Amino acid sequence: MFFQSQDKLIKKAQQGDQNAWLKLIKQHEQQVYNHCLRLTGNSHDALDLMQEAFMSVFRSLHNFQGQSQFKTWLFSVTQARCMDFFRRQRQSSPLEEVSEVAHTPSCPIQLQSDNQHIHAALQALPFEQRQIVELKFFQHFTFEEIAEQLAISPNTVKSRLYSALGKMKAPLEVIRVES
Amino acid sequence: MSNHEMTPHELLEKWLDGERLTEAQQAQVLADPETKPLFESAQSWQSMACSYEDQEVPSDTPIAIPEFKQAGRFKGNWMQWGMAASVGFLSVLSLQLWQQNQVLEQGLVAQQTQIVKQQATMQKILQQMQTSQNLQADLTNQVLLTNRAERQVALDDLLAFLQTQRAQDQAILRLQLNELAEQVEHAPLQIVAHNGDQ
Repeated sequence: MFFQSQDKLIKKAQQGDQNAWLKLIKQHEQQVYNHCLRLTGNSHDALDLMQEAFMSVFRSLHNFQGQSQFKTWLFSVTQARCMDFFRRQRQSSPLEEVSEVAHTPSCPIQLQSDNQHIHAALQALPFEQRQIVELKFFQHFTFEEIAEQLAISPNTVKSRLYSALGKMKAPLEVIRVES
Repeated sequence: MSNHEMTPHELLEKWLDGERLTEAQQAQVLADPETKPLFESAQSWQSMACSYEDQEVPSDTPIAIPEFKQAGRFKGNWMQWGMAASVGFLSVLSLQLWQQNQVLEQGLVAQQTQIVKQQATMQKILQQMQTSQNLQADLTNQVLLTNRAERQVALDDLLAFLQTQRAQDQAILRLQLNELAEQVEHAPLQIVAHNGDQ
């Protein structure tokens, strides 16, 4: 009786219900934050991106008709914001390597180390390939869903993923040996 | 296209899209020099993704929602009225539910009493059936015993009759033998021999 389905929450949020919107954010903020964190390798940038993504979603919430899943739609909006972010980064300065993510005080040392390796492996990839690896292995989207989110063909998604997998073989082996 | 006709690349795609591969299919992917490193690398990524522990979102930076502020004030009155209406509605609903509960409870108690009565009646019927079964068993035993005794008496009578008959037959035979013996004793030897030739 007290549980509200996601569809109901979306409808209520579309009608201007603030609580419903906050509940929607609560349901997805950790996923989106960690997604942005893995893409940027920086918690401040990840927070900014998450904020931008949710604002964009909120502004275009009335356009969401439910043809795709809310999560897919949310991630496609987040992807767009991430791409904007990386375009801006490229114009200003080259990306800095991951450094302060691992220094989260609440994070155990072993976990910090594991996550740091993953962040390092991701940061070694070009952004387009990193996006695909993130969406495939961390968000578990299908090729079709990724293609829909990034507005590219499924074949492009596959070629980018294979290229990333081919490139990542050596770093992954190093990580495995280290851990 | 059936699974047997799939190329290693297609199998790899299928696996990457979350479908399970059979051992033969996995072997096919690993046997191919192009797909093997991709498969192994993807497996490493999968295990790394599994080991990744999501970090909490820092709580000191709440997400701003400026557009809701005005709507929120407008909604306040509606919320209060809505709350009051829903409280009233819930009170009426709970009263109705309580009344319905009472009726249902009474019905249940009556049904339970009825069931207890029926059970007692059934118990009595069962006891009566048990008693009548015992009586029938006794009667059957008695009939069997009587029959057996009657048969015994009849057999005894028959034996006695047969023994009497046999004794009488033996007595007659003995008399006849005695008579023959006397005739043989008094008759001349030649007649006896002559009779023997005839």
